[in-house]
Amino acid sequence: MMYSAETNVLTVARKQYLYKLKSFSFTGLILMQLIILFFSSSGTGMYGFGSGSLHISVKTYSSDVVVFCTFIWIFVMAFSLTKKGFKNMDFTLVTNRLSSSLSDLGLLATLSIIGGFTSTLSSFLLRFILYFTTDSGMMVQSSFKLPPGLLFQGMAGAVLYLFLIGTAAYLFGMLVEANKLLAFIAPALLFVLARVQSKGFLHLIRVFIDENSLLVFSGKVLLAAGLLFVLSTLIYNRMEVRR
Amino acid sequence: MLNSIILLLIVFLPFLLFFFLISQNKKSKRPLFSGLLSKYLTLFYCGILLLSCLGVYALPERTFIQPLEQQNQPIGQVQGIPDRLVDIAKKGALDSTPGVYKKADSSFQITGDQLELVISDNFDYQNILIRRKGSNDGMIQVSSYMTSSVVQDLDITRNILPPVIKLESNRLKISSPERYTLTFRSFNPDFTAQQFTEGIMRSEPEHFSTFGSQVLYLQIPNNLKVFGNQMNVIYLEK
Repeated sequence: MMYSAETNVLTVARKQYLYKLKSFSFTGLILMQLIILFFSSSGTGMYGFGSGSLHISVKTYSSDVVVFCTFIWIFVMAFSLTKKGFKNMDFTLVTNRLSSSLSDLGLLATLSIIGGFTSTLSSFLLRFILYFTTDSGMMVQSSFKLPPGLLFQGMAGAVLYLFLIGTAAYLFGMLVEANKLLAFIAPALLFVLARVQSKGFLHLIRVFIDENSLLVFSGKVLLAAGLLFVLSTLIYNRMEVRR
Repeated sequence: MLNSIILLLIVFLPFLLFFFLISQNKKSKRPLFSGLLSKYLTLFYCGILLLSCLGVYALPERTFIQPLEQQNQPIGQVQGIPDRLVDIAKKGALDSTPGVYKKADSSFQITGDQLELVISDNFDYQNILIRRKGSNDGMIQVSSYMTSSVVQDLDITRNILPPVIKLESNRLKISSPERYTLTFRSFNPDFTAQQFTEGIMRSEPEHFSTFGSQVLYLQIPNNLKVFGNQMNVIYLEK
């Protein structure tokens, strides 16, 4: 048999990835982050104490809420990637299951990078605005300018968390596509597992959140994300060709 | 951290189910901004974030509240001064001792040879130090001094208000300022960054806090008789 052009999986996956990325909109993420930033401008925490006529209150700011909400955003986005409408986009190009999954993985990685970058830097936008709109003499110097190393660690940590959550959501989406009932059973099982086997469940979470070395954390996340992705691809391979 | 994750899961799961049910019924989804506008918006947003990050690092630092260590004040020195404040005053070295700050300085013209001290109940200064001058110049000089006030390693001395002093017909009224609040703003690193610094943070010493000591230093004419509230009043030798 003769073909007019030879191609390989990676080339097709790359084309699919670019096609999907072009059709993707980050407007939702931007709006969500701006709304949370607006509400965070009055502080995300506060504590105080006093002596005599003096009362001291310390307002604390962080972009933790933005990062948490970006976690939710990537979960929703990764879940959407497995939906029928999005998967049908694959058929506009020459495709197979592997190239489709690889392009989704590439897209998830891109979403994680953009989500991690924007959520981490959003606190700097808040710092910058507060510097000019409030009394800078009442700002704590040591926390205003993060050491650049800490900033990059935070950004890398956020990207890795997002990638892990994204691949988990992608697997969840695939499970739901395979059997709609799993949309209810899987979260319920997870909840029951967290209640009944709370120690084991917490240990599983601690594997990630108690890791102090960024390098080891990266290894753990990439390993877990790889496992989740392989499972997703296996499930996808067992589905009908076009639903 | 773990509690917040569990809380997040509990909030998160119903949200997921809700999203799933909604998405099943929704046939077409159009983004709020489509095509090129969305791309430009994303680029613009990322650019703004990057510029604000660079801007923050370029901002001048001198106005910020600074930790003690950056003001070259060892904590040991700050801790020791309040106990020695009266001795320092006796030596006449309040103005020259590092770590003792003059908060306010005022002078009052007085007629007659009697002065009544009226100290309000809310006045929380440790001591009122009175020194008689060598002359009868009819002037009272009042200075307030304080040692470093430190809250969680941050030197807030400059933000503390001095006492309110008024002279009304030979009655020197001394009171603390009206109740006031200092609101500081502190920025915490994200939990994603804190995770990788926990080992370092655990080894850090406890934060140091002290409201310091405050004294009122009165220099009065030699012939002036002082009466009224004499609690915490110490007469210094000439």
